[in-house]
Amino acid sequence: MDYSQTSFWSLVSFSETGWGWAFVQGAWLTVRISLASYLLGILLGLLGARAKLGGNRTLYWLAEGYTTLIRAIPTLLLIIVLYYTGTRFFDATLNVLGLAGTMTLNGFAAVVFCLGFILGAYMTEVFRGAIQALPPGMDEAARSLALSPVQRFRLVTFPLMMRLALPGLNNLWQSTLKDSSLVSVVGFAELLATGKMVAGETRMYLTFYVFIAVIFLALTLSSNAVFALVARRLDRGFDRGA
Amino acid sequence: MTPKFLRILAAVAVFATGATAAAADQLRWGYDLAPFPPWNSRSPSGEWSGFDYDIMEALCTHMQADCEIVEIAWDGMIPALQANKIDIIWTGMSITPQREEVIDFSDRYRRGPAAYIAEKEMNLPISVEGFEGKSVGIKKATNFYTYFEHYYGDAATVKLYDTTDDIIADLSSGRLDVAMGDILELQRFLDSPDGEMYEMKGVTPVDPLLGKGAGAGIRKGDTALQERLNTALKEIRENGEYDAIAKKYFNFDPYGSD
Repeated sequence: MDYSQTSFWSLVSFSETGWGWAFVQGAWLTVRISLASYLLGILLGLLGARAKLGGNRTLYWLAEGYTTLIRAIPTLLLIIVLYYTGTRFFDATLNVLGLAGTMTLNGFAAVVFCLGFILGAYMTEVFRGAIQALPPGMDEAARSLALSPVQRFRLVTFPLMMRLALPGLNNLWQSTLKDSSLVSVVGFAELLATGKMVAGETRMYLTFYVFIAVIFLALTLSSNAVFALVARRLDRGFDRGA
Repeated sequence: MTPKFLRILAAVAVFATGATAAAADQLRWGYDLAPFPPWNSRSPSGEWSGFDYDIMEALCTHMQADCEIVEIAWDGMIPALQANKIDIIWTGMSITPQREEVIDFSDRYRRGPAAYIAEKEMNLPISVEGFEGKSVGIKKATNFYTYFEHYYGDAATVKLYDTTDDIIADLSSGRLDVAMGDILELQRFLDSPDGEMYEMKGVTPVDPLLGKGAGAGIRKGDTALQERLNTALKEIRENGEYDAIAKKYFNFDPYGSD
Protein backbone atom coordinates (compact mmCIF):
# COMPACT_ATOMS: atom_id res chain seq x y z
CA MET A 1 0.00 0.00 0.00
CA ASP A 2 1.24 3.48 -0.85
CA TYR A 3 0.91 5.96 2.01
CA SER A 4 2.62 8.93 0.36
CA GLN A 5 -0.72 10.63 -0.35
CA THR A 6 -2.23 9.85 3.06
CA SER A 7 -2.31 12.58 5.67
CA PHE A 8 -0.78 12.08 9.10
CA TRP A 9 -4.12 12.65 10.84
CA SER A 10 -5.91 9.96 8.90
CA LEU A 11 -3.04 7.56 9.73
CA VAL A 12 -3.49 8.13 13.46
CA SER A 13 -7.29 8.16 13.24
CA PHE A 14 -9.52 5.48 14.74
CA SER A 15 -10.95 4.41 11.39
CA GLU A 16 -10.40 0.96 9.92
CA THR A 17 -7.23 2.06 8.11
CA GLY A 18 -5.94 4.31 10.89
CA TRP A 19 -3.50 3.24 13.59
CA GLY A 20 -5.21 5.15 16.43
CA TRP A 21 -6.28 2.06 18.35
CA ALA A 22 -2.87 0.46 17.91
CA PHE A 23 -1.28 3.49 19.57
CA VAL A 24 -3.86 3.52 22.37
CA GLN A 25 -3.28 -0.20 23.00
CA GLY A 26 0.49 0.29 22.87
CA ALA A 27 0.38 3.18 25.35
CA TRP A 28 -2.00 1.27 27.63
CA LEU A 29 0.31 -1.76 27.59
CA THR A 30 3.26 0.50 28.42
CA VAL A 31 1.36 1.98 31.37
CA ARG A 32 0.17 -1.42 32.63
CA ILE A 33 3.61 -3.05 32.41
CA SER A 34 5.24 -0.04 34.07
CA LEU A 35 2.70 0.20 36.90
CA ALA A 36 2.74 -3.50 37.70
CA SER A 37 6.51 -3.80 37.66
CA TYR A 38 6.81 -0.57 39.67
CA LEU A 39 4.60 -1.96 42.44
CA LEU A 40 6.57 -5.21 42.47
CA GLY A 41 9.77 -3.15 42.56
CA ILE A 42 8.56 -1.17 45.58
CA LEU A 43 7.77 -4.39 47.41
CA LEU A 44 11.17 -5.93 46.62
CA GLY A 45 12.86 -2.62 47.43
CA LEU A 46 11.29 -2.44 50.89
CA LEU A 47 12.29 -6.06 51.56
CA GLY A 48 15.79 -5.39 50.24
CA ALA A 49 16.25 -2.28 52.37
CA ARG A 50 14.94 -4.15 55.41
CA ALA A 51 17.42 -6.98 54.72
CA LYS A 52 20.30 -4.54 54.39
CA LEU A 53 19.50 -2.63 57.58
CA GLY A 54 18.01 -5.41 59.72
CA GLY A 55 21.34 -6.62 61.12
CA ASN A 56 21.15 -10.24 59.92
CA ARG A 57 24.44 -10.95 58.11
CA THR A 58 23.11 -13.63 55.74
CA LEU A 59 20.21 -11.44 54.64
CA TYR A 60 22.54 -8.48 54.30
CA TRP A 61 24.87 -10.31 51.92
CA LEU A 62 21.95 -11.74 49.94
CA ALA A 63 20.57 -8.24 49.41
CA GLU A 64 24.02 -6.87 48.69
CA GLY A 65 24.57 -9.56 46.02
CA TYR A 66 21.17 -8.83 44.49
CA THR A 67 21.68 -5.07 44.17
CA THR A 68 25.28 -5.35 42.99
CA LEU A 69 24.58 -7.97 40.34
CA ILE A 70 21.38 -6.49 38.94
CA ARG A 71 22.66 -2.93 38.82
CA ALA A 72 25.87 -3.99 37.07
CA ILE A 73 24.17 -5.64 34.08
CA PRO A 74 22.46 -3.79 31.20
CA THR A 75 18.68 -3.98 31.51
CA LEU A 76 18.17 -5.23 27.95
CA LEU A 77 20.51 -8.16 28.57
CA LEU A 78 18.78 -8.96 31.88
CA ILE A 79 15.36 -8.98 30.25
CA ILE A 80 16.47 -11.41 27.54
CA VAL A 81 18.25 -13.65 30.05
CA LEU A 82 15.52 -13.58 32.73
CA TYR A 83 12.66 -13.95 30.27
CA TYR A 84 14.06 -16.82 28.26
CA THR A 85 15.83 -18.74 31.01
CA GLY A 86 12.90 -18.03 33.31
CA THR A 87 10.35 -19.53 30.95
CA ARG A 88 12.71 -22.40 30.12
CA PHE A 89 13.08 -23.13 33.84
CA PHE A 90 9.29 -23.05 34.15
CA ASP A 91 8.90 -25.53 31.26
CA ALA A 92 11.62 -27.78 32.67
CA THR A 93 9.90 -27.82 36.06
CA LEU A 94 6.65 -28.87 34.38
CA ASN A 95 8.55 -31.60 32.55
CA VAL A 96 9.96 -33.00 35.76
CA LEU A 97 6.49 -32.96 37.30
CA GLY A 98 5.14 -34.76 34.22
CA LEU A 99 2.88 -31.86 33.33
CA ALA A 100 4.69 -30.83 30.14
CA GLY A 101 2.57 -28.79 27.77
CA THR A 102 -0.32 -28.39 30.20
CA MET A 103 0.53 -24.83 31.24
CA THR A 104 2.33 -21.91 29.72
CA LEU A 105 3.75 -19.01 31.62
CA ASN A 106 1.67 -15.90 31.09
CA GLY A 107 3.89 -13.61 28.98
CA PHE A 108 2.69 -10.45 30.70
CA ALA A 109 3.44 -11.86 34.15
CA ALA A 110 6.89 -12.98 33.02
CA VAL A 111 7.73 -9.53 31.67
CA VAL A 112 6.43 -7.78 34.79
CA PHE A 113 8.46 -10.14 36.94
CA CYS A 114 11.64 -9.36 34.96
CA LEU A 115 11.23 -5.59 35.09
CA GLY A 116 10.06 -5.59 38.71
CA PHE A 117 12.98 -7.78 39.76
CA ILE A 118 15.42 -5.37 38.12
CA LEU A 119 13.65 -2.32 39.52
CA GLY A 120 13.69 -3.81 43.04
CA ALA A 121 17.49 -3.56 43.14
CA TYR A 122 17.40 0.17 42.45
CA MET A 123 14.48 0.66 44.87
CA THR A 124 16.44 -1.11 47.61
CA GLU A 125 19.14 1.54 47.44
CA VAL A 126 16.62 4.41 47.33
CA PHE A 127 14.79 3.11 50.42
CA ARG A 128 17.99 2.26 52.28
CA GLY A 129 19.29 5.79 51.72
CA ALA A 130 15.99 7.34 52.81
CA ILE A 131 15.73 5.24 55.99
CA GLN A 132 19.34 5.98 56.95
CA ALA A 133 18.73 9.70 56.46
CA LEU A 134 16.08 9.71 59.19
CA PRO A 135 17.25 11.12 62.52
CA PRO A 136 17.77 8.16 64.94
CA GLY A 137 15.64 9.99 67.51
CA MET A 138 12.50 9.19 65.51
CA ASP A 139 12.88 5.45 65.92
CA GLU A 140 13.97 5.86 69.55
CA ALA A 141 10.87 7.92 70.31
CA ALA A 142 8.71 5.21 68.72
CA ARG A 143 10.42 2.55 70.84
CA SER A 144 9.86 4.58 73.99
CA LEU A 145 6.13 4.48 73.20
CA ALA A 146 6.38 0.67 73.22
CA LEU A 147 5.24 0.35 69.61
CA SER A 148 5.77 -3.06 68.04
CA PRO A 149 8.33 -3.32 65.16
CA VAL A 150 5.48 -3.48 62.63
CA GLN A 151 3.79 -0.45 64.15
CA ARG A 152 7.10 1.44 64.23
CA PHE A 153 7.59 0.82 60.55
CA ARG A 154 3.99 1.51 59.51
CA LEU A 155 3.38 4.60 61.65
CA VAL A 156 6.81 6.24 61.90
CA THR A 157 9.58 5.03 59.61
CA PHE A 158 7.52 4.47 56.45
CA PRO A 159 5.70 7.82 56.19
CA LEU A 160 8.80 9.81 57.16
CA MET A 161 11.10 7.81 54.89
CA MET A 162 8.75 8.02 51.88
CA ARG A 163 9.05 11.78 51.94
CA LEU A 164 12.81 11.50 51.43
CA ALA A 165 12.57 8.62 48.97
CA LEU A 166 10.05 10.34 46.71
CA PRO A 167 12.46 12.18 44.37
CA GLY A 168 14.38 8.95 43.81
CA LEU A 169 11.13 7.05 43.29
CA ASN A 170 9.99 9.61 40.73
CA ASN A 171 13.28 9.15 38.84
CA LEU A 172 12.79 5.39 38.84
CA TRP A 173 9.20 5.71 37.61
CA GLN A 174 10.32 7.77 34.66
CA SER A 175 13.05 5.32 33.72
CA THR A 176 10.58 2.44 34.14
CA LEU A 177 8.18 4.05 31.68
CA LYS A 178 10.99 4.13 29.14
CA ASP A 179 12.64 0.81 30.07
CA SER A 180 9.33 -0.92 29.56
CA SER A 181 9.94 -0.40 25.83
CA LEU A 182 12.74 -2.97 26.09
CA VAL A 183 10.18 -5.75 26.40
CA SER A 184 9.47 -5.46 22.67
CA VAL A 185 12.45 -7.81 22.19
CA VAL A 186 10.40 -10.56 23.81
CA GLY A 187 7.39 -9.85 21.60
CA PHE A 188 5.29 -7.20 23.29
CA ALA A 189 3.86 -4.43 21.13
CA GLU A 190 4.09 -1.64 23.68
CA LEU A 191 4.26 1.99 22.63
CA LEU A 192 7.74 2.06 21.08
CA ALA A 193 7.21 -1.21 19.22
CA THR A 194 3.89 0.09 17.89
CA GLY A 195 5.72 3.20 16.66
CA LYS A 196 8.32 1.07 14.88
CA MET A 197 5.56 -1.01 13.34
CA VAL A 198 3.70 1.98 11.94
CA ALA A 199 6.91 3.70 10.86
CA GLY A 200 8.00 0.60 8.93
CA GLU A 201 4.61 0.08 7.36
CA THR A 202 4.16 3.70 6.20
CA ARG A 203 7.88 4.45 5.65
CA MET A 204 7.28 7.68 7.59
CA TYR A 205 10.00 7.00 10.14
CA LEU A 206 10.73 10.48 11.48
CA THR A 207 7.05 11.41 11.74
CA PHE A 208 6.10 8.43 13.88
CA TYR A 209 9.22 8.44 16.03
CA VAL A 210 8.47 12.07 16.92
CA PHE A 211 4.83 11.14 17.49
CA ILE A 212 5.64 8.46 20.09
CA ALA A 213 8.21 10.77 21.69
CA VAL A 214 5.36 13.23 22.24
CA ILE A 215 3.17 10.49 23.78
CA PHE A 216 6.00 9.48 26.14
CA LEU A 217 6.41 13.13 27.12
CA ALA A 218 2.68 13.39 27.83
CA LEU A 219 2.82 10.26 30.01
CA THR A 220 5.77 11.67 31.95
CA LEU A 221 4.14 15.06 32.46
CA SER A 222 0.90 13.57 33.73
CA SER A 223 2.71 11.22 36.10
CA ASN A 224 4.73 14.19 37.39
CA ALA A 225 1.44 15.77 38.41
CA VAL A 226 0.59 12.65 40.44
CA PHE A 227 3.97 12.69 42.16
CA ALA A 228 3.50 16.37 43.03
CA LEU A 229 0.20 15.51 44.75
CA VAL A 230 1.82 12.70 46.73
CA ALA A 231 4.69 14.99 47.70
CA ARG A 232 2.26 17.62 49.01
CA ARG A 233 0.56 15.02 51.16
CA LEU A 234 3.82 13.62 52.56
CA ASP A 235 5.12 17.12 53.25
CA ARG A 236 2.23 17.93 55.59
CA GLY A 237 3.61 19.26 58.86
CA PHE A 238 6.99 20.08 57.33
CA ASP A 239 8.29 23.47 56.38
CA ARG A 240 8.45 23.33 52.57
CA GLY A 241 11.75 25.15 52.53
CA ALA A 242 13.42 22.73 54.91
CA MET B 1 -0.20 -50.37 41.69
CA THR B 2 -3.93 -50.38 41.59
CA PRO B 3 -5.68 -50.86 38.25
CA LYS B 4 -7.37 -47.50 38.72
CA PHE B 5 -4.04 -45.76 39.07
CA LEU B 6 -2.79 -47.49 35.90
CA ARG B 7 -5.85 -46.36 34.00
CA ILE B 8 -5.24 -42.77 35.02
CA LEU B 9 -1.60 -43.10 34.02
CA ALA B 10 -2.58 -44.45 30.60
CA ALA B 11 -5.07 -41.64 30.13
CA VAL B 12 -2.42 -39.07 30.98
CA ALA B 13 0.02 -40.73 28.55
CA VAL B 14 -2.54 -40.69 25.73
CA PHE B 15 -3.35 -37.11 26.49
CA ALA B 16 0.33 -36.12 26.54
CA THR B 17 1.22 -37.86 23.28
CA GLY B 18 -1.91 -36.54 21.63
CA ALA B 19 -0.90 -33.05 22.65
CA THR B 20 2.62 -33.40 21.25
CA ALA B 21 1.38 -34.83 17.95
CA ALA B 22 -0.84 -31.80 17.49
CA ALA B 23 1.98 -29.49 18.46
CA ALA B 24 4.33 -31.04 15.88
CA ASP B 25 2.18 -29.81 13.01
CA GLN B 26 1.89 -26.39 14.51
CA LEU B 27 4.60 -24.06 13.17
CA ARG B 28 5.24 -20.66 14.71
CA TRP B 29 6.76 -18.16 12.29
CA GLY B 30 8.63 -15.19 13.74
CA TYR B 31 7.86 -11.90 11.97
CA ASP B 32 9.80 -8.69 12.57
CA LEU B 33 7.15 -6.51 14.16
CA ALA B 34 8.37 -3.56 12.09
CA PRO B 35 7.06 -4.35 8.59
CA PHE B 36 9.01 -3.65 5.43
CA PRO B 37 6.66 -3.38 2.45
CA PRO B 38 6.38 -4.85 -0.09
CA TRP B 39 8.19 -7.84 1.44
CA ASN B 40 5.79 -7.78 4.36
CA SER B 41 3.07 -5.44 5.37
CA ARG B 42 0.73 -5.27 8.38
CA SER B 43 -2.71 -3.72 8.62
CA PRO B 44 -3.76 -1.77 11.73
CA SER B 45 -5.94 -4.72 12.75
CA GLY B 46 -2.96 -7.08 12.64
CA GLU B 47 -3.39 -8.91 9.32
CA TRP B 48 -0.17 -9.55 7.47
CA SER B 49 0.30 -9.51 3.72
CA GLY B 50 3.11 -9.09 1.24
CA PHE B 51 5.58 -11.31 -0.58
CA ASP B 52 6.96 -13.07 2.52
CA TYR B 53 3.47 -13.75 3.82
CA ASP B 54 2.27 -15.25 0.53
CA ILE B 55 5.34 -17.46 0.30
CA MET B 56 4.74 -18.63 3.88
CA GLU B 57 1.11 -19.49 3.05
CA ALA B 58 2.22 -21.48 0.00
CA LEU B 59 4.86 -23.35 2.01
CA CYS B 60 2.38 -24.14 4.78
CA THR B 61 -0.11 -25.56 2.29
CA HIS B 62 2.58 -27.83 0.85
CA MET B 63 3.85 -28.90 4.26
CA GLN B 64 0.27 -29.35 5.49
CA ALA B 65 1.23 -27.43 8.60
CA ASP B 66 -0.87 -25.28 10.84
CA CYS B 67 0.95 -21.94 10.76
CA GLU B 68 0.85 -19.12 13.24
CA ILE B 69 2.56 -15.71 13.16
CA VAL B 70 4.46 -14.41 16.18
CA GLU B 71 5.47 -10.73 16.08
CA ILE B 72 8.83 -10.02 17.71
CA ALA B 73 11.32 -7.15 17.54
CA TRP B 74 14.18 -8.11 15.23
CA ASP B 75 16.80 -8.06 18.06
CA GLY B 76 14.91 -10.76 19.93
CA MET B 77 14.52 -13.21 17.01
CA ILE B 78 17.44 -15.57 17.62
CA PRO B 79 16.89 -15.79 21.41
CA ALA B 80 13.18 -16.48 20.76
CA LEU B 81 14.06 -19.27 18.34
CA GLN B 82 16.50 -20.84 20.78
CA ALA B 83 14.04 -20.58 23.67
CA ASN B 84 11.44 -22.41 21.58
CA LYS B 85 9.01 -19.46 21.38
CA ILE B 86 9.03 -19.72 17.60
CA ASP B 87 10.04 -22.45 15.15
CA ILE B 88 11.06 -20.36 12.18
CA ILE B 89 12.61 -16.92 11.74
CA TRP B 90 10.92 -15.45 8.69
CA THR B 91 10.77 -11.94 7.10
CA GLY B 92 14.16 -11.95 5.48
CA MET B 93 17.05 -13.00 7.66
CA SER B 94 20.21 -12.97 5.54
CA ILE B 95 22.26 -16.13 5.67
CA THR B 96 25.66 -15.12 7.07
CA PRO B 97 28.56 -17.20 8.46
CA GLN B 98 28.18 -15.57 11.90
CA ARG B 99 24.50 -16.54 12.13
CA GLU B 100 25.20 -20.03 10.81
CA GLU B 101 27.28 -20.63 13.93
CA VAL B 102 24.23 -20.35 16.18
CA ILE B 103 21.27 -21.33 13.99
CA ASP B 104 20.59 -23.33 10.83
CA PHE B 105 18.92 -22.04 7.69
CA SER B 106 16.69 -23.43 4.99
CA ASP B 107 17.71 -22.84 1.38
CA ARG B 108 17.33 -19.21 0.40
CA TYR B 109 13.85 -18.07 -0.56
CA ARG B 110 14.74 -14.61 -1.76
CA ARG B 111 17.66 -12.46 -2.59
CA GLY B 112 16.79 -8.99 -3.80
CA PRO B 113 19.51 -8.14 -6.33
CA ALA B 114 21.18 -4.78 -6.87
CA ALA B 115 20.16 -2.89 -10.00
CA TYR B 116 21.87 -0.51 -12.40
CA ILE B 117 19.90 2.44 -13.75
CA ALA B 118 20.90 5.05 -16.31
CA GLU B 119 19.35 7.32 -18.96
CA LYS B 120 17.18 5.49 -21.46
CA GLU B 121 19.33 6.56 -24.46
CA MET B 122 22.54 5.24 -22.96
CA ASN B 123 23.83 1.93 -24.27
CA LEU B 124 25.04 0.08 -21.21
CA PRO B 125 25.90 -3.60 -21.47
CA ILE B 126 26.71 -4.94 -17.99
CA SER B 127 30.35 -5.79 -18.69
CA VAL B 128 33.85 -4.39 -18.22
CA GLU B 129 33.62 -2.80 -21.70
CA GLY B 130 30.20 -1.36 -20.94
CA PHE B 131 31.36 0.39 -17.78
CA GLU B 132 34.60 1.71 -19.38
CA GLY B 133 34.90 5.42 -18.59
CA LYS B 134 31.49 5.64 -16.86
CA SER B 135 30.99 7.24 -13.46
CA VAL B 136 28.97 5.00 -11.15
CA GLY B 137 27.39 6.06 -7.85
CA ILE B 138 27.18 3.44 -5.05
CA LYS B 139 26.33 3.56 -1.35
CA LYS B 140 29.29 3.48 1.05
CA ALA B 141 30.17 0.38 3.07
CA THR B 142 27.80 -1.98 1.25
CA ASN B 143 28.20 -5.39 -0.36
CA PHE B 144 27.23 -3.65 -3.61
CA TYR B 145 30.39 -1.58 -3.50
CA THR B 146 32.60 -4.60 -2.69
CA TYR B 147 31.04 -6.49 -5.57
CA PHE B 148 31.26 -3.68 -8.12
CA GLU B 149 34.82 -2.73 -7.21
CA HIS B 150 35.90 -6.35 -7.57
CA TYR B 151 34.49 -6.87 -11.07
CA TYR B 152 34.39 -3.43 -12.70
CA GLY B 153 36.55 -1.22 -10.45
CA ASP B 154 39.31 -0.84 -13.03
CA ALA B 155 37.00 0.21 -15.84
CA ALA B 156 34.58 2.59 -14.11
CA THR B 157 35.04 5.62 -11.87
CA VAL B 158 33.27 4.78 -8.62
CA LYS B 159 31.79 7.59 -6.52
CA LEU B 160 30.61 6.78 -3.01
CA TYR B 161 27.53 8.22 -1.28
CA ASP B 162 25.85 8.06 2.10
CA THR B 163 22.33 7.43 0.83
CA THR B 164 20.57 6.24 -2.29
CA ASP B 165 18.76 9.58 -2.39
CA ASP B 166 22.09 11.37 -2.82
CA ILE B 167 23.01 9.05 -5.68
CA ILE B 168 19.71 9.78 -7.38
CA ALA B 169 20.17 13.52 -6.92
CA ASP B 170 23.57 13.41 -8.65
CA LEU B 171 22.27 11.14 -11.39
CA SER B 172 19.42 13.57 -12.09
CA SER B 173 21.75 16.55 -12.27
CA GLY B 174 24.06 14.75 -14.71
CA ARG B 175 27.05 14.35 -12.41
CA LEU B 176 26.74 10.56 -12.61
CA ASP B 177 26.26 8.22 -15.58
CA VAL B 178 24.99 5.22 -13.66
CA ALA B 179 23.38 4.59 -10.26
CA MET B 180 23.83 1.19 -8.61
CA GLY B 181 21.82 0.21 -5.54
CA ASP B 182 18.97 -1.62 -3.90
CA ILE B 183 16.50 -2.60 -6.59
CA LEU B 184 13.40 -1.58 -4.61
CA GLU B 185 14.73 1.88 -3.82
CA LEU B 186 15.77 2.48 -7.43
CA GLN B 187 12.48 1.09 -8.73
CA ARG B 188 10.59 3.60 -6.61
CA PHE B 189 12.58 6.39 -8.30
CA LEU B 190 11.88 4.96 -11.77
CA ASP B 191 8.16 4.85 -10.99
CA SER B 192 8.12 8.49 -9.89
CA PRO B 193 7.67 11.40 -12.37
CA ASP B 194 11.35 12.35 -11.90
CA GLY B 195 12.45 8.92 -13.06
CA GLU B 196 10.79 9.08 -16.50
CA MET B 197 14.04 9.56 -18.44
CA TYR B 198 15.73 6.59 -16.82
CA GLU B 199 15.48 2.82 -17.02
CA MET B 200 16.90 -0.30 -15.44
CA LYS B 201 19.88 -1.59 -17.37
CA GLY B 202 20.39 -4.81 -15.49
CA VAL B 203 20.60 -6.55 -12.13
CA THR B 204 23.41 -8.36 -10.37
CA PRO B 205 23.65 -12.16 -10.54
CA VAL B 206 23.96 -14.31 -7.40
CA ASP B 207 27.50 -13.86 -6.16
CA PRO B 208 29.26 -14.73 -2.88
CA LEU B 209 30.35 -11.09 -2.56
CA LEU B 210 26.69 -10.07 -2.41
CA GLY B 211 25.77 -12.52 0.35
CA LYS B 212 23.73 -15.70 0.19
CA GLY B 213 20.29 -14.17 0.36
CA ALA B 214 17.64 -14.75 3.00
CA GLY B 215 16.45 -18.13 4.29
CA ALA B 216 14.19 -19.40 7.02
CA GLY B 217 16.13 -19.49 10.30
CA ILE B 218 15.62 -22.67 12.31
CA ARG B 219 17.05 -24.19 15.47
CA LYS B 220 20.43 -25.92 15.14
CA GLY B 221 19.93 -29.57 14.35
CA ASP B 222 16.23 -29.24 13.45
CA THR B 223 16.93 -31.20 10.27
CA ALA B 224 13.40 -32.59 9.96
CA LEU B 225 11.97 -29.08 9.65
CA GLN B 226 14.84 -28.01 7.38
CA GLU B 227 14.03 -30.88 5.04
CA ARG B 228 10.30 -30.11 5.04
CA LEU B 229 10.93 -26.44 4.27
CA ASN B 230 13.44 -27.16 1.51
CA THR B 231 11.15 -29.72 -0.11
CA ALA B 232 8.18 -27.37 -0.03
CA LEU B 233 10.32 -24.52 -1.34
CA LYS B 234 11.48 -26.69 -4.22
CA GLU B 235 7.89 -27.65 -5.01
CA ILE B 236 6.63 -24.07 -5.22
CA ARG B 237 9.68 -23.07 -7.27
CA GLU B 238 8.96 -25.88 -9.73
CA ASN B 239 5.18 -25.63 -10.04
CA GLY B 240 5.22 -21.88 -10.69
CA GLU B 241 3.55 -20.81 -7.46
CA TYR B 242 6.66 -18.87 -6.43
CA ASP B 243 6.81 -16.97 -9.71
CA ALA B 244 3.11 -16.16 -9.57
CA ILE B 245 3.55 -14.61 -6.12
CA ALA B 246 6.69 -12.75 -7.22
CA LYS B 247 4.83 -11.24 -10.23
CA LYS B 248 2.19 -9.87 -7.88
CA TYR B 249 4.76 -7.63 -6.21
CA PHE B 250 7.81 -7.15 -8.42
CA ASN B 251 8.88 -6.78 -12.01
CA PHE B 252 12.14 -8.61 -11.26
CA ASP B 253 12.91 -12.06 -9.93
CA PRO B 254 13.28 -11.82 -6.13
CA TYR B 255 14.81 -15.31 -6.05
CA GLY B 256 17.86 -14.04 -7.90
CA SER B 257 19.29 -15.87 -10.89
CA ASP B 258 21.96 -18.48 -10.23
